Amino acid sequence: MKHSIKLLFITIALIFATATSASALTATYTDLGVPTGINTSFKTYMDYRCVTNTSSPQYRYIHKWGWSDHQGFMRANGERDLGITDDYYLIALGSYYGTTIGTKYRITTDTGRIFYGVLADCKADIHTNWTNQYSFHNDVVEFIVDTNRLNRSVMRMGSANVYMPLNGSIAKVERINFIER
Amino acid sequence: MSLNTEKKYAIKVAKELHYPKDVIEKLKKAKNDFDISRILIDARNKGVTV
Repeated sequence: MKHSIKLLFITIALIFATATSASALTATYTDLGVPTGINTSFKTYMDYRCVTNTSSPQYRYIHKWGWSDHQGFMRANGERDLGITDDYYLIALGSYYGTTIGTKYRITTDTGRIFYGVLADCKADIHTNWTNQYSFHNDVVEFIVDTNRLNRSVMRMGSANVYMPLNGSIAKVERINFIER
Repeated sequence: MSLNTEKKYAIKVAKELHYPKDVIEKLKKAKNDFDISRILIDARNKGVTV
């Protein structure tokens, strides 16, 4: 009896500690800029199985946090309690935007769409422009997908731009930092 | 492929890809395959009022 009461108190204390630490954080957004004078609406994709080095941070991140949504895009859970209103898309960006796997971004398109991304892979510098912002198709964002589940129309068009929640040229890329209040 | 079959396919795809309801309505009224393409391209280029 005494033992179970003790366990109950520990559980309550743990729940309280977790809730406090989450609410003590707040999200800040740093605008990183986007390339100008080009149409960045083309959005390429790659299969998550293309990351094969099991000891790489990319592989570990994708396999630890990634899951495939019903359209075949790889996603990671968003922190709803910290103001992230949707789940993250697993994406690859040029090194201009950062190379730390797990970095989170809020991306706005010129059609008014907002989506959240988390860096799960990096584009090689030789595959990007001299500022390392975009690749050969003027694509800033590359989505990591499960091609077995990917929507056939997206696959046929070769671009995730046809999928309305991701539609439009990239107008803003902001890095999300969680800082203590 | 007949116009009706094309329209049905376009509407199915548009629904899957979360195109707005007004686009679906326009697709239903499309007169030829050129119309279908134009409606979908217009929808992609149009700004969204959220």
